[in-house]
Amino acid sequence: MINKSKLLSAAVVATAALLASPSHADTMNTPNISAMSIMNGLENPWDMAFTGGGDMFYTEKCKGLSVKTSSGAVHALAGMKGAKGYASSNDDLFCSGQAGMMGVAVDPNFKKNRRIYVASTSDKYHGSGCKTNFEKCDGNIIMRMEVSKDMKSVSNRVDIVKDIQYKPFESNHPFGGPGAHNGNRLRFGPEGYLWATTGDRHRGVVPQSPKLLGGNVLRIDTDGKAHPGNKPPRGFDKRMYTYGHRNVQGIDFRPSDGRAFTAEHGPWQNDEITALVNGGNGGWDPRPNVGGRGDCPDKYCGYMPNQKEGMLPAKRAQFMPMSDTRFSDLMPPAWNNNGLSQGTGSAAFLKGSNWGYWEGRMAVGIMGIGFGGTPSGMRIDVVDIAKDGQSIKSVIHMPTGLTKRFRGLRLGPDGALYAAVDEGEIYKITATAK
Amino acid sequence: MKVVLFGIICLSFFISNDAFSGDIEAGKARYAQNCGNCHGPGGMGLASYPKIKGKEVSYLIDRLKTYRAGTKIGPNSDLMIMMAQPLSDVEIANLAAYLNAQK
Repeated sequence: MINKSKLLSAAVVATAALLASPSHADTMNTPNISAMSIMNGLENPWDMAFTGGGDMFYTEKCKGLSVKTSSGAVHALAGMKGAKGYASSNDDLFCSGQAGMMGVAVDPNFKKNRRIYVASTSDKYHGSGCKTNFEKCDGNIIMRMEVSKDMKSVSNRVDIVKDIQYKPFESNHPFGGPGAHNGNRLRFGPEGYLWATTGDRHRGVVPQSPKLLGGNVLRIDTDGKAHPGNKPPRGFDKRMYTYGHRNVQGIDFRPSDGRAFTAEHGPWQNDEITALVNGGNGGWDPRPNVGGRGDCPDKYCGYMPNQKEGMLPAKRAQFMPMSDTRFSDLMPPAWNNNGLSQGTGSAAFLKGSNWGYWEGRMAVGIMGIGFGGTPSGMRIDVVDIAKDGQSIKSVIHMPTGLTKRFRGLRLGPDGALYAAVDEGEIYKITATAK
Repeated sequence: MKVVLFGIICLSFFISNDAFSGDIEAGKARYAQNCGNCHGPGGMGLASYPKIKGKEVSYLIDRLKTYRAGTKIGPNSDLMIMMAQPLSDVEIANLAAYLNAQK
């Protein structure tokens, strides 16, 4: 009886001690997260970029480029064809389907040179191309512009890349409208060069092509010239840092070592996070009659073997892999979203002690695409990537309280994470370490 | 006789006009299961997915039944065919009533 009594007392004391001590989460320094809408009523906001002083440039896919200054004033700077209320208009810039004005980046020397960079669809360089879906079509460009000191206008537009591929016509595919798969995220790397993502534009030969810009990550200077250290395979366009991608819409650089990581949208299977290797191959090759495949609709196998109804994602992956291991220069993904595609659209590494033990991890925006039995999964994931970039250690959902199509993520100079969502809003997500 | 005729006309109107047969609340619940992922809250339209709120009931029913039958209309037809195939006539009527009511 005495022994039982002692045991009971010990259990009570131990339980009390557990209750009194900080929770497991507290000892792990999990940040408190809160999300606040800072802009609404926008039309498909796509990307943001900040000056050191907190001015936020943002794009709307079918309208143009604007800025919300640190004082809260909003100025419409550069409009696309048909857009009204902008300080300047650019009639060659248009939107169609997934395409339009997309990525934006601020020059690291903005304070001195006032330069920003914007990726958009344009018909200025179509030339004799773009007459069918099966030929060269230079329809995505990267522009450099200078922002006035009062932040109310831009000038001196220079098109520094003019030949990123574009899909001009509808094809026999899901999401088969014109303007598919453009990439078009822009970020400056830690070395001061501009990184630009591109998409396969639903053309089978593009991602593995040595000359066509599409399905690549480009690394260029601010005049659009190749970084001298790029090492694509012999005969490839020197602007390519990597090739063989599907549609990269997320890219950022790990704070601990500066390494570039991409977040890529899979074809109803395998969204991927990948550590980039200079000259590496993403392993996406949707050409017909290669890799054991036969003919495919409109010469693009990207949604096969069954593009008309749901099927097990693993079976799709077996037939049309996102990262085909037959390539010796393959960059294997660190993460594949458990074999599902839910639409990874953007990525940003979390920097600052306010993020607690999430500091240094990658935030990944998932737009939410639920076909063929896949749960849509609109969310932001926080991914802890292994040091060698070949795997992840954990992935958790950021508790934002939001269920939105997360299109663009960008860390602000204030240490907050900013999120553009297709519902027409931009959110500020703040973290406070305990 | 006139009263009976009037009654028949009224009845046929209600039968033919799906706006009166669709259940908006049931349509809202069904919309939330799949449709909102692409078309957004209340059918506002997102990204390259079109706005469908406020469309005529007859238009919405016709489109959904056309997709359900496996007929293509536009570049995202394969997706819509996949989504529409499991829908019953009642679900289509409910969805149309809900979307029509979104202004």
